[in-house]
Amino acid sequence: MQRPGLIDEYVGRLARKLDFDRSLRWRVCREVEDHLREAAATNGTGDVAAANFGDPDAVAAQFAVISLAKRSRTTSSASIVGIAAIFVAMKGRVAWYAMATETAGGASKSVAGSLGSIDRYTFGSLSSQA
Amino acid sequence: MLGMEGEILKGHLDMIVLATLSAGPAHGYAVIEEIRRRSGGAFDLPEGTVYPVLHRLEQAGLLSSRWVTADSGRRRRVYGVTKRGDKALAERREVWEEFSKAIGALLGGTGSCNAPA
Repeated sequence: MQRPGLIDEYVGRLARKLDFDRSLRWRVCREVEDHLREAAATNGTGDVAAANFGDPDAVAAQFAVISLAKRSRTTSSASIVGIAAIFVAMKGRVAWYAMATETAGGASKSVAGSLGSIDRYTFGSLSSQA
Repeated sequence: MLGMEGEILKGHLDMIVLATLSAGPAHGYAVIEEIRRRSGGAFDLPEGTVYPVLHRLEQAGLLSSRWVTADSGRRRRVYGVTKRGDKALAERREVWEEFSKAIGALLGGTGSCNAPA
């Protein structure tokens, strides 16, 4: 005899454990619920289906590892893109100052020269750190 | 808790899941049933172990997935092997064949690993 709400109870427990990632929680819970309902329809009981699926804490822990790896990759990619953008922007500024010192005269020339030196120094420090 | 055989099996789950799905797209429950059927019931892991593998393989680009509506009206996620997945499976098959041949030779006492005379 199938206890009412047993599958909902299992999915609810899994959902609480997957609270750290909302999109993952939604997708996993839908998939697991479908699986348990099909297994219960085949085997006749929700508790057998839930027992065969395994401990929800252990299942959630496996998804936590996957989610963490995905976030690490996303963060790494974003950092690389960010650093590359800063380098390109600084290179552009250095080139712009070089052009400005050639075309401008007097005070603007010395200001552009000083700013260019600051950028070159900062760019050099960042390059050596990277 | 998984026994030693279960642990060995877990180490090859990626290949097992890819091989199962290479026959055609399927949802998680069907994948598990097919693994059980094709292994003659020998591979009977906790069913929840297979879903993280499906997600991981999808993240790695070896599987793709989409939601479909089943005859029962329930929405389910169907997985299929990508071209990269096919290539990865072929590579893993090759490695597995070499590995099993080497283990067979060691356990059977045949092959080139005999003690020198």
